[in-house]
Amino acid sequence: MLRHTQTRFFSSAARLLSATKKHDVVVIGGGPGGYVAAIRAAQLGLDTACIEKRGSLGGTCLNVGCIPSKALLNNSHLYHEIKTESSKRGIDIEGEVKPNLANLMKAKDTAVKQLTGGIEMLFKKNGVTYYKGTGSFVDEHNVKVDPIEGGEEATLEAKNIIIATGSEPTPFPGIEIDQERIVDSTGALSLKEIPKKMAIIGGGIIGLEMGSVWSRLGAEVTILEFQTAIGGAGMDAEVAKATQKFLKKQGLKFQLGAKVNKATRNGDEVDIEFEDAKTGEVQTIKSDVLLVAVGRRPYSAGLNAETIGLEFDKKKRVVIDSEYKTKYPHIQCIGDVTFGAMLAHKAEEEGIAAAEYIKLGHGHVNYGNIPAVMYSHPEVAWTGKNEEELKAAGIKYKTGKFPFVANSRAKTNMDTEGFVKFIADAETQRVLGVHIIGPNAGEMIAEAGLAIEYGASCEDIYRTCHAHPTLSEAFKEAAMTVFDKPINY
Amino acid sequence: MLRYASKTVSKTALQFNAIQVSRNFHISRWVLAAKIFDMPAMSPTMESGAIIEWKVKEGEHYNPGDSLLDIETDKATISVDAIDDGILAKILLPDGTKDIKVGTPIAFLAEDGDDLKSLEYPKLPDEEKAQATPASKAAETAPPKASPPKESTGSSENTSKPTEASSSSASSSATSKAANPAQVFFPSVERLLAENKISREDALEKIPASGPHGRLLRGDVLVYLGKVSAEENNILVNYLEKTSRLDLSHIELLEKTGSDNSGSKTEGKSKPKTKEPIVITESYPIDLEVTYPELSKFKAVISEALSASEQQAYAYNTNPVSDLDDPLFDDIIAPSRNSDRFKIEYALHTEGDEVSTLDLKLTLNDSCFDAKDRAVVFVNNFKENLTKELKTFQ
Repeated sequence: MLRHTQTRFFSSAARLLSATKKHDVVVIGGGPGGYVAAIRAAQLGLDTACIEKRGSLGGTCLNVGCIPSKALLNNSHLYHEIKTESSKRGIDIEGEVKPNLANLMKAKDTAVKQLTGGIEMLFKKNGVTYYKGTGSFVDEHNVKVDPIEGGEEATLEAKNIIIATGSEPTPFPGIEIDQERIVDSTGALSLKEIPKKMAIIGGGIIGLEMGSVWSRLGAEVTILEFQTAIGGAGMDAEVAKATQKFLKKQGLKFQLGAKVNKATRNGDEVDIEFEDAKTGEVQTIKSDVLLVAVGRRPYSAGLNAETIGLEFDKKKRVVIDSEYKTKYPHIQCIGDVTFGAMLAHKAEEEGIAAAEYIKLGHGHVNYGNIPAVMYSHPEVAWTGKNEEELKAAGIKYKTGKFPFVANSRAKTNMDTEGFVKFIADAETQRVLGVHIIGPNAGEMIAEAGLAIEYGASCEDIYRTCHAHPTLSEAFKEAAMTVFDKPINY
Repeated sequence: MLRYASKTVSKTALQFNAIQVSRNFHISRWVLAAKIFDMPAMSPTMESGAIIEWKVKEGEHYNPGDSLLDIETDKATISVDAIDDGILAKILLPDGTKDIKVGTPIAFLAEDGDDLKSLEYPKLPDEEKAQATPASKAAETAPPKASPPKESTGSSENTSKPTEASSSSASSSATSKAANPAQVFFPSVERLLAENKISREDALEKIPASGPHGRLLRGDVLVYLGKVSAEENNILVNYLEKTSRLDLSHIELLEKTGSDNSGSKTEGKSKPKTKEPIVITESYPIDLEVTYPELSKFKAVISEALSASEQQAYAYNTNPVSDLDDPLFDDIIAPSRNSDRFKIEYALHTEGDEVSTLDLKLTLNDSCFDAKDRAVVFVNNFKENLTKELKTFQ
């Protein structure tokens, strides 16, 4: 009895100490979904706060995902080009060209630091209140902030709450990540030395990008993929095959249909046992580093969502409706922690839409036109539908391809791997999907996105003037190829 | 700013969203230009309406919430309320004017404090049009006879192909809407219109648009020309519309584990903590004479059928085809491939030497989310397997 009163006393005292602040919108999570939602809400005139527990804004994407990996990809590509292509291009190098891992990492960290700091600036500029700490539900309208880094403890009373807590790497049952020899995507961004041998479980985008980085720097990389094709869901089968081909040429090894049974660390080595999914034949390989990149799973730890009875599906995704509302209309959820592809730009779009639903009652995200980019070299990018999806839906389509080897700019750049592939409705020529392997495919896919968003036909694209000599001419000529003949091939 | 409240006078109860006609924000005070107030659209389908009565007189000041005028549509009488304050500078169309098309200027509004005498009144579109009429008239009459028949002939008798196609697409598709008159045409649309001698005005008026915000697409013109079937185009448009939304069908809720529900708030809503396992039962008629010595052989035949169905059930791919599902991810969170999805029991009913029916009972393992799918596959296949195996027995 006594104990009971004591706890009650303490809890009420704690409540008195922590200030209650009122906001129109509280966003939990400062990743690409959350920070964009917060800024948009503030721009729409709502008193907005954003809670982030990482210590820096930008989420997985900016801190341990897209951004640092792109720094490593670009610089390792430059290194590899200089080392292998210089003499062909008429540049003689005296002395040895070698990577400096410490400085590569420094360059990466600088980019990350500048960008995360940039978001804090944007928060200030737009008047978003930033709480450093863990946000957890007290009830449907109150969110408690457990501070980090000496921040203030606070309880936020919110009219609207947007959950944007993101995702985390999916662990592989039975394999323990030590971030030294057995790493996940985060650890793969900051290896202490270039491994001689590297094995990667998972031939999706993360595995292939990190495989590219370390392979260029000198590692012998083996990809173990359970499926019979690489690239993960959404990649067009033809593109996946061509991608595997060029990566193989670059020295990556592939074991498709490989079911990994176990992986154990033995000193400075990792033993990996896998079996052929079809024949059951068991093989063992050794590597210095093992990267586990088998996907990501929704993350909502510490959110205390159970107390207010938020609904989750079987994969622990927060259940929402088409306006991102959970079972409580004033609590929305966006990004990786709910349904849809786990992509930063998809979360950003949802962040904007969620804020606009609060203020304007309307938001727009076209889920049929969300681009995906793999930053290998050449890059692989696509948006809209792939052939497999259209076949399944019974839509009659035609395809057209134009290779970069027939593009003048690609030729002068000595960078001619890849093609642009169009998929269009057989009758109306409406562009349904575009799949590109090629230099700067990630930039070029934006034109396809615009075409699809506006319902353009192949004709509309090839009747639009494209500058010469540019890679974008390949895009135009591919559009011509679907129903007509290209000029330069 | 104006708000249209649904102070419905007629009996038809209609709900209107608060449509807001924003004043042109770029017009700064010091420009002292009046703002044209157009006939508002009170519903997406409203094309024209009548002014019943202006509630504010010319030159009078109004406050937010004041009713400016009553408008009559074919469905209801609606009061148009002001959101901002301002002055009704000039009434262009008086009380009782009927058949006013949506978008027709009906009044000039001024900012609060504006001097009505020195106020500049913008040119009305009509006046501009009047000046431009000779030219545009010429353009309208320019398309020769080859152009698709005008609305009048087309609507009375569906004689020619284009109108048929367009009318069918207009009626059967919810995704096609009226073309947005403000659009710049796609190059393909422009070419098709020029080749078929269809004027811009005709195209905007007669061809239903399936693109975003009333954009005419190449396919829309082809449908209108009868070169592409409206039906197929609709299938495509509907498919794209469907896939533009997040697929939130087939959500399988996470079952709450008992320990999670400590809070009293969820009481009543929470599911019972101990669940009865799901049982699927099915009877199969056999009607076969089985003598005692043959019984073990008969049982072997049945177990053969059972194991064949079991194999099919476990081999069945339960992953739905959707790019939102990651097979790799599923593989990791899925229960291991050889864990038991269901327990099989069966009973034979006999009448004398005759085995009449076989009762099958599958008890599902509820810790495997794919248990039910696989059990259904089992049940579906078992009948066929049983018939096949029983033949070997005979």
